[in-house]
Amino acid sequence: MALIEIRDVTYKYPFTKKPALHDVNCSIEKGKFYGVIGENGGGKTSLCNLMRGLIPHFYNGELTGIVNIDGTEVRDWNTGELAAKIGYVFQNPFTQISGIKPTVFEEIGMGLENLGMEKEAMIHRILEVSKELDIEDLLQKDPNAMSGGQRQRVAFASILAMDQDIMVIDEPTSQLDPQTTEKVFDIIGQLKNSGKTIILVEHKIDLIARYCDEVILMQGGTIVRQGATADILTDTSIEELGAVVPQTALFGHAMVRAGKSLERIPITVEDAVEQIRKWKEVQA
Amino acid sequence: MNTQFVDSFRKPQTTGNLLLDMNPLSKLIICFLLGISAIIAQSIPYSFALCILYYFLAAAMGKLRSFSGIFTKIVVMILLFLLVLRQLTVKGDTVLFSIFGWKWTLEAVLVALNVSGYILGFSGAVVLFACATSARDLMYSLEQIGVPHTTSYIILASIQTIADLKKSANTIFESQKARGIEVEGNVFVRAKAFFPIISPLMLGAMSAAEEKSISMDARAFSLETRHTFLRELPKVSAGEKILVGLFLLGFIALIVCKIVL
Repeated sequence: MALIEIRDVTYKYPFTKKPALHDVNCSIEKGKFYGVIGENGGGKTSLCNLMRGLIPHFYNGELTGIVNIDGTEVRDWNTGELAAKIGYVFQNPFTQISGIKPTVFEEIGMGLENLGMEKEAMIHRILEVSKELDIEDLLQKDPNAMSGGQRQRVAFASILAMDQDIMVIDEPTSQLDPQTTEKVFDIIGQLKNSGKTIILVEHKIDLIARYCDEVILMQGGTIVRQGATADILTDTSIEELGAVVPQTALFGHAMVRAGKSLERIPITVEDAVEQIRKWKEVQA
Repeated sequence: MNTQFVDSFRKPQTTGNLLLDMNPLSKLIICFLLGISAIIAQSIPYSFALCILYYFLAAAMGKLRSFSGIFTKIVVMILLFLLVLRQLTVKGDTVLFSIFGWKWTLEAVLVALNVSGYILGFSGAVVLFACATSARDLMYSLEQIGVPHTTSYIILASIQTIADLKKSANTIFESQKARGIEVEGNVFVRAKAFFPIISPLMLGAMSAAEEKSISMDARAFSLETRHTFLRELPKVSAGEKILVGLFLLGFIALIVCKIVL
């Protein structure tokens, strides 16, 4: 059984005429890493809101269709229980800071307090997460007086600390430098390896190619493609749907067009190197 | 990482100052009783003695600068306002002095001192409590006695929203300035620059409040389980309970005296 099942869903935000999601169908399997891609305004964040249950619990609007989360219809979930089940990292780190905690240490601990975790376990978890995200030097700082990148890491750490089974992550690296972005993706990769289900919205296609098991491509509020990452990202027709094909895949297609057939079209740099090495061995 | 900072969460948070480390609710009760006692006593010497006591208490808590910064302004404003107002409204025969034919009478001064005395006696207690207690400590104590988690969050978030609004207003002013719009100068120039930003400021605050409530939901704020606390305050000592009891007794005695005498 799928962990999240979305059937024939159409959704309009309150006071809007055009649906943000239109005839959406998809299923999310347990333990898989999904990358959600597509042009701006394509419905990616709305899909996240739906999977996290903010639609319909927070955004009333008009919702038709069926959304099942872990076998229970989304409308029947208690919002608090949903929060304990699904972690959600928002696009905007400035509003993800609670504003009532004077230090980053307490900010990260806030979700754990709400989950009722004992104090020593809380301290241990905060230190563990801050070490993973390399924010130990920020622990004593005021979260309200930090830069966008620092806030983004703290917001991510605050949700990561809660250790939910499902993580919905909406552009977690939009304000981060390349090095920190790599670190965040490594951590998301580790989460996947520890059995968590991840739904990630991201524009950095090379990182999607490297980490995700499946890709969901959205355009105009609907899912236009869903499938294995390699299948979706090597298909150059996705460019017409507002997505970007990785440079390595374009390179692979160019090789094939030039009569230099590869074992498969690579979507990551590592795979491209491997394919060229194999091709050279065959040539030799 | 500062291990001392982390270890501070393993034990109740204290500052080493006996008065500051009192339970916020004890401080609240004492300050409230002192403030109300000024209104009940209606005595000029008592009210002004209270005001002096507040300065001493603030100094003992190491909060003299923040307390006097606010309270002295209030004292000057209230005194000046009431002295002038009462001279205009209260008639008297004992003329103290005259300014360009405007006679200041003893009767009007006494009425002004009496009214300002109980206003200052009460407002001084409020300022002292605000200087001596952080909002989060007060909310922690209230939650400990059963005040809902949501109520305490709303109070804390409202306080933070004031700071956020100020920050947003400054950002809008700066961007106006960068576009060449005059935002500095006399009162009229500032007012002209301020009115157009009210709507975007309010709309921005409403939108931020909506996003913030989703953020709180993401932190399992609405989960119906026993919430725990990372930061704890010391338990109320027997001595502190006795002190609060004595203040209560003193307050009751004041009421009795006021009725009997």
